[in-house]
Amino acid sequence: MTTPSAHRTPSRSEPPPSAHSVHTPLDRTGAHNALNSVRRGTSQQPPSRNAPTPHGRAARRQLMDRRTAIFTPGKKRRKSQNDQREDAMDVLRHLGKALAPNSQVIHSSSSMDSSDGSPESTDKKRKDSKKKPRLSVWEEDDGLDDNFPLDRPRFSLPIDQDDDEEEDLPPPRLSENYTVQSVEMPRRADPERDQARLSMLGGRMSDVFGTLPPEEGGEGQRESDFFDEGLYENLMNRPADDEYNRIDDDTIRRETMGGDDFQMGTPGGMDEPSTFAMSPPIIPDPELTAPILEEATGGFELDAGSDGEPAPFEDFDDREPFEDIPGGSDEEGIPMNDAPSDREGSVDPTNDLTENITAPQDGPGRDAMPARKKTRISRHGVEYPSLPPAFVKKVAQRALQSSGLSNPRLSTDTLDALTQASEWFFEQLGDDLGAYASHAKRKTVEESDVVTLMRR
Amino acid sequence: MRPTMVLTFNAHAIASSSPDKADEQLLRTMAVAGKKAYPKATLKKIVKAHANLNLKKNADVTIYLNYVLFMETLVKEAAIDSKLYGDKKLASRSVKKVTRDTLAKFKG
Repeated sequence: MTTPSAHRTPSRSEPPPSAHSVHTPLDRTGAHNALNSVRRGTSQQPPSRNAPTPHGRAARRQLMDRRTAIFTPGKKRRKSQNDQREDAMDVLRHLGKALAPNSQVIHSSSSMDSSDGSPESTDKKRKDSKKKPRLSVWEEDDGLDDNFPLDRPRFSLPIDQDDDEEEDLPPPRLSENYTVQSVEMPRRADPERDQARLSMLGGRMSDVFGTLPPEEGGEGQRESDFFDEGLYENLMNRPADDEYNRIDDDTIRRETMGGDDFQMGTPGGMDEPSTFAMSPPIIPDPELTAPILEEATGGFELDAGSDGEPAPFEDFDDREPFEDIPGGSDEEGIPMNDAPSDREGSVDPTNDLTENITAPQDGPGRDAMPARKKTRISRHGVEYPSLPPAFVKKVAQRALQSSGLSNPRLSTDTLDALTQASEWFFEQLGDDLGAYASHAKRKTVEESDVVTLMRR
Repeated sequence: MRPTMVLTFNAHAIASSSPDKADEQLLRTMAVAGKKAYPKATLKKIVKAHANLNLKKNADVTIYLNYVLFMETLVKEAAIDSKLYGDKKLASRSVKKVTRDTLAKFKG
């Protein structure tokens, strides 16, 4: 320990004897360093210089440690300055410590389920003192109205009470669950609704499918148009056709806005259309009677010959498939009338049957009406022919070629759907054009109207 | 060129014959010429019935054009829809589904 200093002193003392003025800095520095180190801390001492030997270094280190030990604030010091250093958190911590024995109340209130098991007597007393006023509010709220949002904030506290008194827990929970369910419900319900829709679709599809077998039979019908032997197939197809007719009847209702307009327009002949619209619900009867009638129709010309009662029957069932086709083609000037004839055949027979059953007096009225294929009556009481599916098919296939579908063929279902769509289209178009023309105070629809419609 | 020739040729024949026959011949010439006329009379009747007004001379042609456009839109939409379902054909279901929107698109 001393040796290094001894070593140094001679080495450093050597210059002082030689030059007193000069020697001091070394010693001073040493003294300075010591003082500095004492006052300012450890940083300024370069130990390597002053302690060339390891022992000296160790001695310095010990010294430094002592000094640092002196100047680092001990626990007592900290405690002395505690008041200055304390934060709000410390205050709270102290408060918490002070209140520690009583603080368990919070735990019980925060979680309801655990609180059910662990309410302590002291806690209960506290809670009772606090809750009873709140409980009164709660009950008032309950009495006033069931406000779920209001209930929720109080939710945690009163629950215990409720639990104690009676199981009023469910209402808030229910509310929660209810909201959750209300959120989830649609999700769960969606598939069901979808299924329902699907079932609805399925119903429709079944209706459509009902037409499918007839569709096969539809060809039979077409054949029947040309061959007498196809009658039996027609008869077989009729029940399915009935379903199809229901759809058509609906559409008719849609298009015609009910039978009232008919009666308004032309009461004489239009009574039949009203019955026409009424007929679909009675369909089962025609089905029952259908075979008989069909048997009767087996002799088509027989019925045609007897005009008395079955006159309408003759008009639609018998003629349409056979005689009307050529007539219709002549009237409309369309070379291909096969498909429309099929439609007529499918639609009319049931109506005719029902009419025959329900209102036999319709005969003369029907006679008055031209025995057209499938005439419909517009909102204005004007008859119009149905759109020939062949035409629809032609247009649709032309459009389909550019659609990019690999199979450009049209199934019968699709064609039916397209025909239906285009009939609605023409209905809508006619209405719009009429509105345009009448708005221009014209009595005729001009090309400009159509152009305006297309431009819109 | 040739169709027009045929038409003119038949026009002579029409002039000489009765009106009914003229219609028939006109139809026939159209068939011969490869022009499939759209069912003009039917179209006219349908629109007239719905509009409760008469149609001017060439309005029905424009209507037919509009109808073709409608059909193209309908088929296109339905094709897209049926493609979504993976059908290779045009499905009636998709046609039905698309019909409403397409009709709304063409509403005046």
